[in-house]
Amino acid sequence: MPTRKSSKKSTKSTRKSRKTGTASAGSEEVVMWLRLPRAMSVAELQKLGIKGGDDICFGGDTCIAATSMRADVGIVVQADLQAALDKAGLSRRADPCFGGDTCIV
Amino acid sequence: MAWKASHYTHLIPLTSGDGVVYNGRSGALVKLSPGAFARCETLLSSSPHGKPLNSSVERDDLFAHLVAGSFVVEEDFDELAFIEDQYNRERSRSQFLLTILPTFGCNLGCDYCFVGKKKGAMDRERQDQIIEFVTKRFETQKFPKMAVDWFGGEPLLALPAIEYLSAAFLDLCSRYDTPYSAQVITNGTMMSDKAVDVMTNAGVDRLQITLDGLREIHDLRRPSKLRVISSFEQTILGLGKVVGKFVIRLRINVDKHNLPEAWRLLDFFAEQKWLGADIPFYPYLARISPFTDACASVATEVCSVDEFQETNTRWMKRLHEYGVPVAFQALYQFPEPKLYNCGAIGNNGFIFNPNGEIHKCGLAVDDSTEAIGMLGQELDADHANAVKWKEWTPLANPVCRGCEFLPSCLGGCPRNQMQMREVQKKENCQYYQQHENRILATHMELAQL
Repeated sequence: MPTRKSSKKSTKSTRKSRKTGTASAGSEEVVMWLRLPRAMSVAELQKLGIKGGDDICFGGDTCIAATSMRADVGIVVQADLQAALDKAGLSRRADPCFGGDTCIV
Repeated sequence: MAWKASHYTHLIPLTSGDGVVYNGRSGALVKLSPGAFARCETLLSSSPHGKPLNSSVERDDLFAHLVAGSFVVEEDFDELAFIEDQYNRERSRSQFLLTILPTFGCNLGCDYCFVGKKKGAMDRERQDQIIEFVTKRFETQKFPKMAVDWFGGEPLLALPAIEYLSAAFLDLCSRYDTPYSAQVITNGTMMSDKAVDVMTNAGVDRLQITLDGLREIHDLRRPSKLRVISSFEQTILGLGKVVGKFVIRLRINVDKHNLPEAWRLLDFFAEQKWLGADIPFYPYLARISPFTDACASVATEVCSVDEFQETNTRWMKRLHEYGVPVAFQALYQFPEPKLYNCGAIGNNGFIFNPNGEIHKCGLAVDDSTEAIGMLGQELDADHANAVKWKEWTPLANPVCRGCEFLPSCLGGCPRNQMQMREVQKKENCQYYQQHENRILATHMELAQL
């Protein structure tokens, strides 16, 4: 688990933490990115102190983990949300909804 | 450059001591360790709401993160105008979303059904008119995607129509290089091998099937019109044919009376070995509400929003224990910013009923006075019913304009707003204002990150 550790001290991640973007925000403090607001370049991410490589998966406008029913996904930011949704056979809650029996809230 | 806290940034403390920062407009989500979370709270509250933050905040290590997530925005950035522009843009270029009722007929007689008492199936002439309608639109527009919901009545009573129309849709989508997907909203009792074959060939990848309890309760609430047959047994047989073959959203309509029954149903699903990480079978609770006059009688039976959400949280935790991947899933209410909030207000959303009426709102599909046109005739863009949906916007409501949950709510159901359904409007606000952040915290807890 990456919480409570600074990313500099985190040498080898657990399965979960390999799928998260963590960055140090001061001594012993951690900012764990779970969903990016948009596709961000590696350079942009590095400015936040988030390093690429095996630890994180970036790209895309939102997080596939928020919409995929896959159990093996921790937190992964995927390039093409719609393709991922199609693959999972799902639509976003943000999708149009005709209410009634199709409404989930 | 001066910065201000976003109106849509939510700071959510977790029981672990950590905290989550979520922005409803951008969708950005970060988890902060306790010290960072406390500092973030201090930074964002360093000036009155809407006023520029103290320039010293820019020296904090956290600041770059706050900017990246749009948790803070430039002082002159008009977030509301951004949302309004996005809303208008997205509704005008919405996906091609059709809901088709191939029949009003149904073999069940559920007392809370919001579809009225109309009868009749869609004939071949109407089906050909739908194909003509769809073809004309493909000839003049490029759609990002086409999606079809098969609804009713019970749509599997009209398999030939699903088969015939789907073949035409798939052909059109292939010709115009447009992704296609389809869902069947079914009571699950008509799930023959033939039905499975037809759905598979029709590009159907998702089923929504409803159970309201074990046999005694389900049969009482969703009785077969042939009283000698158990609709529960029929649905379970049907599920046995499709679990693992389609993504199944198993809907459980709950009110005051059957809320406890849902737990017994969950145990039953576990016994059937339908719950687990590798099985696309997702039971979820849906709160019954008196959506239409046809189901107004349920008004005294509904459970409160608070009661429902409390149960729903426990439900998610139980599913998680069974290995069902619940965390961060939209089906289980994980918040997401919406682009627009209802197919009825999207330019490319249409509903066809068996009589050939074209509608916008699924809740009025049995009310001919609400139709925006008829198949076989040119749609009149100035038809009063069409204009009503086209012009509706949550941004006209001053309460919505000022609400910090606007991006994920967008005013809720437009019909409730238009018809001034005060109870439903109030419940919608209650859901977002009192429960959305709690639900997000529950997802964080389940994700165990």
